[in-house]
Amino acid sequence: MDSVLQVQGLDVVYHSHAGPLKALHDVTFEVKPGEIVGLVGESGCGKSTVASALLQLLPPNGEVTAGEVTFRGKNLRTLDARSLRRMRGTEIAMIFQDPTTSLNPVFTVGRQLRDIRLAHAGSLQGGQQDLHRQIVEVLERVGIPDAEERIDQFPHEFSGGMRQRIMIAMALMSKPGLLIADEPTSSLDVTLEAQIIELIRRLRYEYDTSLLFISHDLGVIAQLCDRVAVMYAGRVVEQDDVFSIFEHPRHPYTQALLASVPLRRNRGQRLMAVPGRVPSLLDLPRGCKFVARCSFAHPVCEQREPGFFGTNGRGVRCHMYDPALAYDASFNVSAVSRPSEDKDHRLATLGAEEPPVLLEVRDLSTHFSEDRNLVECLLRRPIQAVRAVNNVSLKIRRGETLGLVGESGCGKTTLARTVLGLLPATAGQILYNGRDMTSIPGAEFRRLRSRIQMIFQDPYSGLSPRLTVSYLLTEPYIIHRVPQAERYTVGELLSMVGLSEELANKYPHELSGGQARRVGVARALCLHPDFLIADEPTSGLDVSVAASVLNLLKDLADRLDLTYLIITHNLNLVGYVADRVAVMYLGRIVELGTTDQIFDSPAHPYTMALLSAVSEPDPHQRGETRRLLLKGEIPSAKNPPLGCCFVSRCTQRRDECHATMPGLQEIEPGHLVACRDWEDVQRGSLIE
Amino acid sequence: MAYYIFKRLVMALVVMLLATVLLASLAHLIPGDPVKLMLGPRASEEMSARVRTEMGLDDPIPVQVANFVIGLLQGDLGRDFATRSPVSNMISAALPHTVALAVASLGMAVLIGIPLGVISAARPSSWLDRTLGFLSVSLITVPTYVSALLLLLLFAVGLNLISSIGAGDFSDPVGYGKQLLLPATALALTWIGYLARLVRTSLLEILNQNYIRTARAYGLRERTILFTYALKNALIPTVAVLGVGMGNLLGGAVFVEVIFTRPGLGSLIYRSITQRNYPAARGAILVAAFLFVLANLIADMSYRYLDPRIRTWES
Repeated sequence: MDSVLQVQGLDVVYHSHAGPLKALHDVTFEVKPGEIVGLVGESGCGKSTVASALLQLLPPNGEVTAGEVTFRGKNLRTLDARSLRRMRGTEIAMIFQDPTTSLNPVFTVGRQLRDIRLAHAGSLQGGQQDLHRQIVEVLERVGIPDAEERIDQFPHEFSGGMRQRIMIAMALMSKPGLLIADEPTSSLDVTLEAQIIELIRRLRYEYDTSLLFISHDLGVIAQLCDRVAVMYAGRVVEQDDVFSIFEHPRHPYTQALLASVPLRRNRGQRLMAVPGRVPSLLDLPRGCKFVARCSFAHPVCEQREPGFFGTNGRGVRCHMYDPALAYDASFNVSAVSRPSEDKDHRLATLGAEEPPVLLEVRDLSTHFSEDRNLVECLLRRPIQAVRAVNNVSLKIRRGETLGLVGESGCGKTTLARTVLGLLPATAGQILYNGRDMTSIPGAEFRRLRSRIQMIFQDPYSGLSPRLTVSYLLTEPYIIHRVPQAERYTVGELLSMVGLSEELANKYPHELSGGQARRVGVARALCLHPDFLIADEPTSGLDVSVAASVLNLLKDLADRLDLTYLIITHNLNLVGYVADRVAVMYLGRIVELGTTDQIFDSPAHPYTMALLSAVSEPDPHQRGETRRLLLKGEIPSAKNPPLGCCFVSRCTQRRDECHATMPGLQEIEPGHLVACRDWEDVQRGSLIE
Repeated sequence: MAYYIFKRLVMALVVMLLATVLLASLAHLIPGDPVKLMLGPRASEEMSARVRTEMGLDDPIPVQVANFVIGLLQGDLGRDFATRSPVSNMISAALPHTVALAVASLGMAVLIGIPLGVISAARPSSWLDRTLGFLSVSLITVPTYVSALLLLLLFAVGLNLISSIGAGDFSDPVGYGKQLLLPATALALTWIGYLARLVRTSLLEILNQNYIRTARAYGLRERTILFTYALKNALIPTVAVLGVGMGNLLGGAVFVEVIFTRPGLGSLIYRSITQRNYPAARGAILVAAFLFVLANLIADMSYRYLDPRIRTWES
């Protein structure tokens, strides 16, 4: 037995009021010593259920109905509760998605680490002192500075990235044989994601542990894993080494999944969007679970479920690979009609005449002042201003798509809200078609304001749960008192965003994430806007659904002549969708240029660091691209560093950088950067 | 932390000042003429007028209010209409009995209500949980004056187990404790039910949190998870409710003290209001308001002790 973990034919059922939900069926995979196995799939495919089922941590309504879980020769399914508890956290440890909610808020970090050890050792060998030393050591190894002092702090006193490091420390304290990481980077920024991936990669060797890495992010999987199992509707549909999966995906679902990731290299092309949606676990089709969405389905696929064809940890659950049926399996989804529509022709015409500037932001600042209570006012405590947006200037031309990128907390969303008039500007001007929106009378503002609409970040929370889709789509007309003749009908709006009219009488909770997002888009389109601001348009959506939303935004831009400001932290998305890119850091634009300029010749160390942190869904690119890890995390806007805003994290700062913030200078036509040493940055002579 | 306490104390003072002014003015809204009540219906106009002047009742109301506040700042709550003895003496005699009652019933509510809530939450939807749920809701719905009367009838009158009329004397702690048992229980019953439900709900919510999943995944004992990791979080909302509930408790104390004829603050308030005895009524209510503000202050402090997140926010 040379594998650390072996899962054989695992079936899990959740008992619900509506009947049994078959969450997992015949899940088989293994993790060999020192190996990182990736479990990838969209939400609801059962990845997290696998993680919980291994240590029997399923919720009370979950039940393992069949299969074996063997860890180092021990059958975990037959283990008694006491022995099972003893294995948790010592031999198999878990890291969870959201470190903020996964640590207990009312106990210190040290206490939580201590309690884990105490739960397993009846009496402490070596005493309290020794345990304290061990905890400090493990915290230092995961990169917590000043661990000795910070051990008595509470989780909320650490930043998001630090909290995830603490989770990792918790997992490694007992040197477990297997580490299960359930989406450990999904709630983190790109730069932190890169830091955590590097940390996991390093610690795996230091602690000699195997890893089961669960993620929906194909980029992260490609960067980290040795082998990959792709899951769909509770089944492992394909399993192979990471190179084969990414280069020669065999299952139609794997192929579709890979083709739906927005990347810079498929700019201008339509993304592969898997039609339809994941079948409900309550009502799974009889045959192949993917049949309804598969471009290659044969009659046999409807009739019976395919087995798993393959051995030794590689294989496919698809009839096409059944040797007995002898189908031609040399198909590829990406070859199937993907009309490579030419976006660049639009751009070409743009370049020719230089279309007029639609929106211009001039020296815009948005500062928040802290609320003071009565006593503080009486004591005249000074107001601390948070400079969320600081002196930002931008121009967006008609028909253009501008991508605004930066880590969370950099002020992207505040900038958008200020442009929309949802937040008052502290200083500066917002010119829309040449009219300054900050100083025009209310009636005119209202009229102009209807030209600019926003697609909000969360697909659901932007829609009132008490209103039907039909009312939600009529509301803007009521607010702006639009005469009947100028209104779109609900049916027209729904068909514009690719939804059927039947949805008109549904409530938001009855919609899927993709549908809700589309309703959000339709609502933004009601008033015939010219300008749309989309805040993280793909957040909260699965890869395949996100792809179809991006396709939709692109189609609408062409059809309705829309101009976009797309706010995101996802650089792959920006590379795919944007014509120009603005990079924001601590409330300022540090670099601005065309997408090619930004991606091919970045001139600001921050842009450079962001780009180096992107997890490309290409296993060949790991190790090759030198990972310029951005140290630390974005400072608080309450307390920004003096001088250049980036100085505290810059690898090549000089004395001057501590003195003043450099202004934006144009280094080539249309390419602006706020860095003194941009030439060094472009030459690549960055100090490590 | 020191700054926070200072801030809270300033706010508490402001609240007290407003309460004082409001009370002093409100006393005049009680219908009836105190002088008439004091001297009886046959008193001559002349005599009434003299007494009225003597007591300062001829002054305009704002002046009376100001006089009261000034007196208060000097520690003088005024004199009782009927006995002419200082109100502060009456209150200091009554207060200990009320504090004893409040502390005893609050303690009882906490010591019984919280464990009941934990037991329910540990096995949700079990027959035990359902039974406790039924009992808790029943306790919440019974008004204090009803439970006080029932307890009195059942244990003191019917079974004749404990004498519960009057408060007893502090020099005999055991006897005093026995006297206190029934009134405190009557006052605590609602709160036992309320706390049990509250703790159950918040504990169930906490048990669904990710950090409880973490604790389980790291092999912590179920006992540790329930009583330490979950309960400390669940107590945060409970403490907040208890602080506000103090007012409720003091309200209930009026009924209980009257029914059990305990010479506490509640009885004093009741008596002074029925006798249109303004100085005594407003003095006593003011002290009750003070107790309420104090309880809230304590609740806020313990809230901050339990939840370190609030501690950092404020500093």
